[in-house]
Amino acid sequence: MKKVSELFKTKAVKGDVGVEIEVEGKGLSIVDTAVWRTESDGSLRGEFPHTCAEYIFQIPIPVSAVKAAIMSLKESLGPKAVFEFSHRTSVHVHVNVQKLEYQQLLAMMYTYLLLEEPLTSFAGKKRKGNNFCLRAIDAEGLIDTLNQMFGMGENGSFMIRNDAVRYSAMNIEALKKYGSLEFRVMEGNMDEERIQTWCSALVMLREYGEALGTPEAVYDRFNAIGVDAFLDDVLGHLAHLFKYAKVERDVLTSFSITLDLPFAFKRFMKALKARGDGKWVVGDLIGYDDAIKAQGEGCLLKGQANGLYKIIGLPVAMKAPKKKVEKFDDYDPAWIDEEPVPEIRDGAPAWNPQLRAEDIRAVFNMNGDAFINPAVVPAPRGGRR
Amino acid sequence: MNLNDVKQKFEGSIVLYAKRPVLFIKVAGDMSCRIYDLMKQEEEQVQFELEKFTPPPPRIGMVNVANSVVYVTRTPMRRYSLGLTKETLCIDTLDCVYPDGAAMAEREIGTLKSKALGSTLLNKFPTKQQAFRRISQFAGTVAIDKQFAVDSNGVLWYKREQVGKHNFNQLFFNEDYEHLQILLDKSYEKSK
Repeated sequence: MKKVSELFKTKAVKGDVGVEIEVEGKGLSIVDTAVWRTESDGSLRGEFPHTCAEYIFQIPIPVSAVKAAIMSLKESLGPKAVFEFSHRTSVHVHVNVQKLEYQQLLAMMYTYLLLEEPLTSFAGKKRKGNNFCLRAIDAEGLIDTLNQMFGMGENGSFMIRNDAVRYSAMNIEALKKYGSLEFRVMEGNMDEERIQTWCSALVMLREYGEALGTPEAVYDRFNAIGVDAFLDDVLGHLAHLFKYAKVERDVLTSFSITLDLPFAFKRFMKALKARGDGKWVVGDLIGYDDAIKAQGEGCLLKGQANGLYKIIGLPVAMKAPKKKVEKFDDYDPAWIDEEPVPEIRDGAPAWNPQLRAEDIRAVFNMNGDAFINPAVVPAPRGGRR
Repeated sequence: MNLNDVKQKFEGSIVLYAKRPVLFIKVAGDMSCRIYDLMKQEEEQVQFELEKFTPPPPRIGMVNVANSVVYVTRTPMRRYSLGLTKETLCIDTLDCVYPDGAAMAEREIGTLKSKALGSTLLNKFPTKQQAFRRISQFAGTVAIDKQFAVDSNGVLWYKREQVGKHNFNQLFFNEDYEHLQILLDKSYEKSK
């Protein structure tokens, strides 16, 4: 499977983590160094940069250097800076996952979800239920998106909808932007030891996902060794910092909520093996290169983008054409529904490279078989409000 | 907390008041509040006390409504409300039996005053035996916990998916879904 950097075509960066610290207080100032830059953040209260500011790493750095970086920030701000960490402030950490292959990324995400409660307890008890960093247990809508990511292989990664995931504790929207997973749950603070520990733990999740390789392997390991040993397994020498009296109960609840994710991936892999080369299967989505190839082979595809996105120019038909179709105008398609014909610009379909998976309703192969994307077309008697 | 903050954070959302699920309807200038108790199905007026109003339980899940079920989740959207609002609730109907129509079930939840929603928030569900008895006598669907439901056509539902069958006595998972059995055996979420 592809690496995250290839899948999302993100700009390659080195370094393990990027940190963003939101601060309110007094005597703050703009810091612009090799490590830090400063930005205004609309969610903070105060006057930028004197009483509120957000300090952000210029580039990702090795995780071992986080503590020194925080100390350098405090030094740059000087002794007159007074920090006040209200409920509006937080510390966001981006973990660079560009090098992970897709199934390793899923393994890392599943590991995080299993340990979301102890991780949240360490990073910000007060932020539990906070609307800007909702856990999977707070907003199960995230699990829906993850189900598609796990159950549709790499194609599922295009199901990430910004508005549906951005304010979750693990922000997967950052995958598309930076090739990182953003963890938003840590409450505002400037404690270099605590932030260092937090970053180290998050990088350990990445390494665990990379080592075990698939979400199924993480599931098997979790079941084989139990909660306590799993914490040790993932977090090593830091594990004791994430344990508390009812940690087992909390982790098992997370296990319950996310149980189907590794199996969704397993089902996808099974379907992948079962299908022959070049055959579309239900739920398949199509990328630009494949779309051009498929169209050249006479497949007709539907894609309609809504909202901010333009309609793309790949037509849809109930049947595959009898002859090779060179362009849309050559064929009179029977439309699936009453939606308007895609716009054709300059005689050629206009392609939107930001096409989202949910924009594709169905694909058709040369035999005329239509494969409906179940994520887009609701079941006849079902529906979603 | 000032009046505007209370309005922004609470009005139009389901929260817990003294551990009871309520719809926070309105707050007045003297900080008296109109709330609607989902379980008692009645409106009352109380004085605003911040410590008494808390976020709702995080998980929603299956709701037994209109002789059937809907699957309700909260979407992680940027909203200032503390509780559940129309905007953050996602109501999914299943491809199951809806004797009164799926729209009625959706409508009822959408009012944010549903007792059925209150029961789910309090994790109150019929037992498997009660559910079997009900669907063997009447057409419909019954959720037995936040994730599973059974319908009168003999289908076992997990969230929005058909994952098995039942014979009104026992549950049988389809191939590829046997792993879900552990959730019924262990009832992890009921331990909370």
